[in-house]
Amino acid sequence: MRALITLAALLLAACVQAQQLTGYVRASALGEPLEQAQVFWKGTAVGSTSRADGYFELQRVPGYDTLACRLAGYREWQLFIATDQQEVIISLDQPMDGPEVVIEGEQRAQELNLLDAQRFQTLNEKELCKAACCSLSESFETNASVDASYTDAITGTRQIKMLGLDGKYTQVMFDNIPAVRGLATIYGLGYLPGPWIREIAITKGAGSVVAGYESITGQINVAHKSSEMKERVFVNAYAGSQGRMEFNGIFRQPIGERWHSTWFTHASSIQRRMDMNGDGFLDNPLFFNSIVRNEWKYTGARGLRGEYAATYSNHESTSGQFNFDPQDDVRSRLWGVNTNTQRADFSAKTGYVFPDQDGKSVGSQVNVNWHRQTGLFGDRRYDGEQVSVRVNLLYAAEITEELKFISGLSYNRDDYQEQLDTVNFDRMESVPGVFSEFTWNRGTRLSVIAGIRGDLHNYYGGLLTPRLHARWSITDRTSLKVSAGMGYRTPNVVMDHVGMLAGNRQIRIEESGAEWPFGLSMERSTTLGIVLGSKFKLFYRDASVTVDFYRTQFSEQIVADWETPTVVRFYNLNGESWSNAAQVELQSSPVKRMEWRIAYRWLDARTTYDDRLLMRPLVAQHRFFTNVGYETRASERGAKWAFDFTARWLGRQRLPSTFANPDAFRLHPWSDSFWIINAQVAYHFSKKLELYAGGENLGNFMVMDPIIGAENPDNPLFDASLVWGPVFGRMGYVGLRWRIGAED
Amino acid sequence: MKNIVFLLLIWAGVFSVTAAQAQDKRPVTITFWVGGVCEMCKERIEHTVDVPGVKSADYNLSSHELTITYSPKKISEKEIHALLNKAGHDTSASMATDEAYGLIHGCCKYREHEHNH
Repeated sequence: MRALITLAALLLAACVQAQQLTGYVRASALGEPLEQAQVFWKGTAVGSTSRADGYFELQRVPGYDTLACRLAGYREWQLFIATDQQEVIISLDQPMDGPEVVIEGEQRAQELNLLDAQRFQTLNEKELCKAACCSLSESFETNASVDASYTDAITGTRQIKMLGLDGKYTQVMFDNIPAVRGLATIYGLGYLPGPWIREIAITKGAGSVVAGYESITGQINVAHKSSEMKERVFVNAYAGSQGRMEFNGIFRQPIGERWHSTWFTHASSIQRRMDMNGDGFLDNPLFFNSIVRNEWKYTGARGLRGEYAATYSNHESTSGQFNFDPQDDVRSRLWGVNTNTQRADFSAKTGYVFPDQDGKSVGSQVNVNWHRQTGLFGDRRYDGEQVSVRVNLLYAAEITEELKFISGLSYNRDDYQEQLDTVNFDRMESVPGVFSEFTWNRGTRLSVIAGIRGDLHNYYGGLLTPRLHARWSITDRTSLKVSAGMGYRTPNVVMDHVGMLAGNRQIRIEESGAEWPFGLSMERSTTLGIVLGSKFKLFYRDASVTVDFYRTQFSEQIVADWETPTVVRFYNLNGESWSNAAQVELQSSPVKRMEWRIAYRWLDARTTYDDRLLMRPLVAQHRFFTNVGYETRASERGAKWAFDFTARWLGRQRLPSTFANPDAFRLHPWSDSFWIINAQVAYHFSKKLELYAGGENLGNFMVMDPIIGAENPDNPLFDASLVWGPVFGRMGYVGLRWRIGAED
Repeated sequence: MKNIVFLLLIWAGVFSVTAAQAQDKRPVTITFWVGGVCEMCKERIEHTVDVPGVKSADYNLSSHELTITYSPKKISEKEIHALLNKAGHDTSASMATDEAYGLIHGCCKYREHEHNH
């Protein structure tokens, strides 16, 4: 029987040869063959996948004449095919804005990447749905590599940490454009709603030089949903027991053959006053956020591509003592924080791929950003405005089949006008730069990315940034990656440490050079990393284990010294400062449709404070993480249950010294260790509609007295900046996700 | 000494028997041809064999091959083929009925793609 079918298939294949389209997929017109590329007729689901030698064959579909090809890490390719054409060579090009990971088909929620020399981990939509909501800073709840902690016990602002160092050392990009910078360093993560996100790619250690010199501990690139979204309309609504209401809507509309327009909308709010830990202060700020974004994508016939987007956002937030009202008279007013932030952002990316020329392409990225924040922190007034312009021009080509490069020019200008009470921190940074990045692939086993950039900073002079990434696949299933690179950052004292404004700490900046911003030097560091990743079969299904170690060493750093209770001092590092981070993560599927991840991390981050080498405060040396996800078997129409459970344990953290305070205002030098447990249940009625409900901090762990001197905010010892754990207890939420419109 | 040798022999005998039994119970991984053309097919094929006894299944769209690990105690190879046929997919061992084939989505009509209308 089997032989008969094979024979029949062969005969059929022979007689239909004439109406078939055959061809090869290559990295360029004469480049290496590419396998696993998806070749299909645009507008249909009829497709095929290229073999190891790049060869594919495909049946014609009457009425469809545009052939498309997709492969992770390459730009989507399209071409008109005449009815009588029988052969085609598809040459794919690397995308303009660096290697981009495209997730195709069904994937694990978090993918360990064995082949990309730089990329460490990718979080896709499936993973993002596991977190309760809301903004980007909360999207890392189910990730072991990135921590989210609070900046202070009052404003509810979250910041991320990587490798035990503050989020300011991580370069965050939206669609490959550096985004969370300058005055937005901390608050910026709140400006991208979680449901807008298609994918987050995390690179630990030094990243690509194409995006600039600012990444020190890593790069996080966040991709918007936009035109890759299958549905026409996406709606998300959320309500939480802390009083948070949220709405997100995404509307996608193809316009003509070539254009695609997408509207993103977001509104969220908390209006209910709550004080669960009974310290007289609001646990969560009262706020109202609204964000709107319009994006246009152009896909030209002859290799021209464009992405244009404009975003506007407005944030208002009030926090502080329970009955604080910013409208009250100054003299009778309670202690509180009231901030208003407005942002406008415009970005344009245009790329052109030269047809029939070995992977040659040019591209430009232009970004203009305006940010204004005004705030009242107790009696202190803050007023900050930043106008940034960034231009990046890129040229990519192949030297040989194995050696490719991206080279370009960049210009970055940040105009800051910042005022805290009567002190002015106005400054203007202007940085032209050049860069080159070479990618060398030796077969499938070895890949090296070597980049270098040179920048000329108007305050700090010439900056040379060399970076190197290499990946060696020891076997098909085991790979070793190493990375090394330098990074720089200019001082941004007030907004990098905005938590210090939640209290009466005096701010003392110990200047060392008057002509520099804040009179402080630039931060300079080197980060080295090594990652060993291996995939194997466990319980008959795919499993993986990753072990990594990173070291960041600062040669110059701005030390934020909290060791004297009533003051926060900023000065140039005089001595050693480093962070060592090691992590082991195991991923497996013990039961069908179950994913289980378990991770342990060890951190040793130390900085010289005056002349003492101390552990960096508010960093847990030991950290344990586990996440289990399970889905039931989907019914015919896609109905299923999905369960998710995350538990994390943080070991004790060193708290800055409060020894100088009177007894009642002293904190124990070490925090407690604690567990945070989150869980979620989702019911999918079909592939289009799902309802979810969940709980956060189910163990109801709270720091009971996170604010020193909470009884009397006039006391100079009053301080809410030393927060080491959650200030809000158990919380429940419900929400829905609804995808409307045909998948095309 | 004799006793020890005797005991060892018994132990070895028992061990080889249990090992042989374990061999029978152990899940088996096989790879065979299944008709399919698109992502939707892949999803349907993998979902169809997501039944008790099947440990894991991966359909390769380019080679049209399904790699499946199952426990022979709970499900037979024949039953797996039958499940796929019932869902409208031909396999290397048996073909789907025309009725079952007729029910699959238009873009999944793998037989037509080979006949080329």
